[in-house]
Amino acid sequence: MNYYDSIVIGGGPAGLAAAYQLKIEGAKVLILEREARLGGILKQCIHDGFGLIEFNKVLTGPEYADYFVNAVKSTKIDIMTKTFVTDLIKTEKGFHVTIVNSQTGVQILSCKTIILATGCRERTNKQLFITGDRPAGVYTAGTAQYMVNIEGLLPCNRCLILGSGDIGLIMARRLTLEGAKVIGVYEAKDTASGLARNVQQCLLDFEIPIYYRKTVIEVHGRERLKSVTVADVDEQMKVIYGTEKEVVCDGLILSVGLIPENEIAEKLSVAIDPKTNGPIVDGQMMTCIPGVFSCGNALKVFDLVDHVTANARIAAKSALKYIQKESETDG
Amino acid sequence: MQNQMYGKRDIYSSRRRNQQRAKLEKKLKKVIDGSINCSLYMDSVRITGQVDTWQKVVKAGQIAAKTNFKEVINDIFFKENSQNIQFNERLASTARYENWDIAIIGGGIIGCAIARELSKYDLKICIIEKEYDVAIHASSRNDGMIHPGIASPLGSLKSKMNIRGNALYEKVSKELEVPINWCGSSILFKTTSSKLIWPFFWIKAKLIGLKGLEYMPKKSVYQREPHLSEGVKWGVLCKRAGVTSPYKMTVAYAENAIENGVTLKLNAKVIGMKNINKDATLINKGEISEIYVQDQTEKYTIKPKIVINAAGVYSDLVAEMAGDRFFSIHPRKGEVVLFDKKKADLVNGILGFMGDRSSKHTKGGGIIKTYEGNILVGPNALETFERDNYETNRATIDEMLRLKLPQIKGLDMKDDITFFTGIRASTYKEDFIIEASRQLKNMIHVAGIQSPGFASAPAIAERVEKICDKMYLELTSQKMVQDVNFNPNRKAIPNFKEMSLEERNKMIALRPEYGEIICRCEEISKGEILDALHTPIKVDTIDGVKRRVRAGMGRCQGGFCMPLVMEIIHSELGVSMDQITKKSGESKIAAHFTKDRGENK
Amino acid sequence: MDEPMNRMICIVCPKGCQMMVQRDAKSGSIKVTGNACEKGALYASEELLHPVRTLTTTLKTDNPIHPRISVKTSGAIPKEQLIPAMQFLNDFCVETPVEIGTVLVENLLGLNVDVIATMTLKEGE
Repeated sequence: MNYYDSIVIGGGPAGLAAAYQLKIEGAKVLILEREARLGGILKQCIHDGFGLIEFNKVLTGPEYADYFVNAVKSTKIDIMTKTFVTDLIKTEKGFHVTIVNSQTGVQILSCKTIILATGCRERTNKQLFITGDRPAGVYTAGTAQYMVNIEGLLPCNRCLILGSGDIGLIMARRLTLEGAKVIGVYEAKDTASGLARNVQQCLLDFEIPIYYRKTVIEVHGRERLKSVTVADVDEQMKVIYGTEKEVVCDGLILSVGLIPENEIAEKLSVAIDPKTNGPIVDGQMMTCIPGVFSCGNALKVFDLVDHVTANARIAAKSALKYIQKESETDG
Repeated sequence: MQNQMYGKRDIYSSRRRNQQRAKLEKKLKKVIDGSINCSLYMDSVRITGQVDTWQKVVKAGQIAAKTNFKEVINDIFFKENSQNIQFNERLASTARYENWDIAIIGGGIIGCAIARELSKYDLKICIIEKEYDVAIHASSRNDGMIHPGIASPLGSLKSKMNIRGNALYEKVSKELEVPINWCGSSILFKTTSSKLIWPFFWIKAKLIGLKGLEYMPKKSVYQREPHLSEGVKWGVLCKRAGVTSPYKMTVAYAENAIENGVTLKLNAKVIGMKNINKDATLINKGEISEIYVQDQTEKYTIKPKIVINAAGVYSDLVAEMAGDRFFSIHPRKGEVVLFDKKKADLVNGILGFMGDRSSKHTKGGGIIKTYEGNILVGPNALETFERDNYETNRATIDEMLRLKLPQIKGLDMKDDITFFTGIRASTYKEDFIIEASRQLKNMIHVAGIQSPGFASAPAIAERVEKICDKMYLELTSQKMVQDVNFNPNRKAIPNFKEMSLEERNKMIALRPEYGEIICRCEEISKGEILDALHTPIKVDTIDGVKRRVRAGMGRCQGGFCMPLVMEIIHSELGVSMDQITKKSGESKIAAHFTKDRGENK
Repeated sequence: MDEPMNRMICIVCPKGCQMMVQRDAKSGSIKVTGNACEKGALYASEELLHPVRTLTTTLKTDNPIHPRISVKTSGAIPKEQLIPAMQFLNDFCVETPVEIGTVLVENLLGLNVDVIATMTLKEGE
């Protein structure tokens, strides 16, 4: 059975930074990535603004990822891509990680520590209880970003963006540059949830209006989206009925929040903070299960990838300490 | 004179029927609207008039249903009424025609189950389905519950079909490889005094032949369902209740039918029929000689020996085309909310709450753990004049959740992953219609199949098989001949998630694509998606894949896997990425490629 | 006499400083307040006189698995040139493989900036 000091689940910015740190300090590390390429969500974040803290340079997402992918590859860390973790089990000396891969089939790997770096997913229109039809044309900003930047598909010609999260703002600019009409960004709160500079360079630069205290309550169109119903909301974010208006569009892009992904962590009964949706950790990023660490957006949603990198390093260092301590006690 | 036609079957004399009619008319004029008139149509009653709301139309129909007439034809108008039925399009024969022994109209669970039963015989059978796939309407929009049969009225056809259907499903499940979880259902009561009705349950079960019914004292109720909120005093456990995937079952029936020689015509809409005897009566019967079909490319004619009307919520319109509309469908919408599998442990089976129903016309409108482990709340019951408007409504969903969520401790609105609507094809008599037409020699009506229609499907198919057998003999003087090559077994797409480690390894060694997980929430592999694209029914849509292997049905609702499924459809079937649709027609996922078109080019 | 005050959000870093920018009509000198660093002041005066942006986008490729490659301009270009640049780049198709940093389009629209790959694209990866 393959044995590792640490298995890092997730090959995005958090996983790469953690794995690299562990490796250069002498640990035997494996990165498990479910996609074909390392880099995580950075692969589709082709805009710039990354790396100012980490590199004192303005980089795009793929460039930021490239640095860490190269760093990791140069240290000969074991990497398995297109590999999916199906189970985690606590054992006497550590953990068993069950993985699936089309080349090697199902394998059970053994390790002393686990770094959870599984990132986050987006809240959907269903979770907001946006009712009405179920047409094509309603996508989360991340899905739209994948379609535009990776697949070269324009998801809509004329769209409305619900929520002013950073990906939503970035997508407003991106869709505009690629020739779609962005009617406006609708935000239920009275301030934008994304960074001020993104409001400037993604919306104001292109004269895209942002409407506050407004939300989308219904979508219409049996096959393809034809229109949405928007309405005002009060301070408690409750819909004010009587203010409904129909807006014609063939796309609704949602940027209404990110949720840390911890379904695999739950297999180990890692305690989850209901506020952040991430694991409850100590100051050293260790969860309530000794030997299991969490970092990056799987822990809590960060604004900046630079902070994710820094956070992952803390997790890695604390995992190293744990590994050393365990080896000593093992004699 | 009309009375002669009914012969012995008519239990009323013409005079008595007229008295009934007049009495009903008087009542409707008084209670609903002065404009309402009643007339007789065969042994059904037809009500006409004009009112201002759909609620009044339905109410009038329901009052009329309380009489002893066979069925209610409700032709009352209201301002937005879609009830305005006109099928004067009695087309001349088209250039191209096809001969079929059996033409089944409708590719839902009922049409597909009938097709599969009849595919045992050496017959030329086609299913005519107006949508791009099977199971598009009610058959994919329900809770997948196989009811035990205790809730249907004693003596009703529903009750009979449900009991028999439930029993048949065990075999069907094995043959079609669609697993059922016989999880049992609990009917829960919140008053102690209601315990008095337990003997009636017991007697009813005896009468209808239902086994596995148990009285549950409070303690057993909470042992079975520990997360139930306080207040339940006792319950009835029906062991013969199960859950399965309703769309997978429908697809399986259709696939097995096709494998046994049935032709499935998709995107094919029946637009008219020809009755060779326009003045058909119960004695001098008519016959459907031609069915006119419109598909994506042409209009053509089907010349059928036997026509089976399994058109669900449209079944009265199909009956009208045949000149044999003796009932009306009043569509009844039901909204359902699905919750994250993470909460699966909160519920162990099917829960129904007595005295807590959002409407009397729902069965088990409660809380169910689906086959896949999602907790499902609903459905509610909302009368609507629109037959296929599946829009959900926030206010009615909120109301339903307000009532149901407090029943389970720890179930929260924020755990929802999706919600949808189904529409029940109810008649005013609220029972199934499964019978040979009384004024057409070669038509069988299978209508009003609402809950527990899914649970009854195998029994309905069996009943139709018998009717068909008799009809075929009368029409052709020949018996239907068994097809020696009939194969009742259908191979399901392997379910990777449900395999043991050893099975998984064997599968991946054989088919490496099974080792690549595409849908992370539901753990669906590329192999399963590829297999879905190569089943007997053409699948090239995102929702088509979803209905077969559930990719995109998890908590992220396809956010991650939809583009990946598109890539698989593209590379496997050669469909251009910009042309892939969610559900056929105008539902393209993308508007177009970037850099190819659009305002900046 | 001073020209009117301009309110500005700095886009140089994620901090997003709120700045006030004012130009002296006579001397042409620009006064910036609210900035947390020198880069901010520089950005503010540029933004007032001739706003520029770095363009990040994609180009078509000849690779069927990766039909787009991410790119950026090597320097900032005038804001009003963003859309013309997008239109111009629509017709380019990149031959793969490509290494990160490779110049794919030289001297974009005569603006003295190149378009460079921000990712490495190899066959079958």
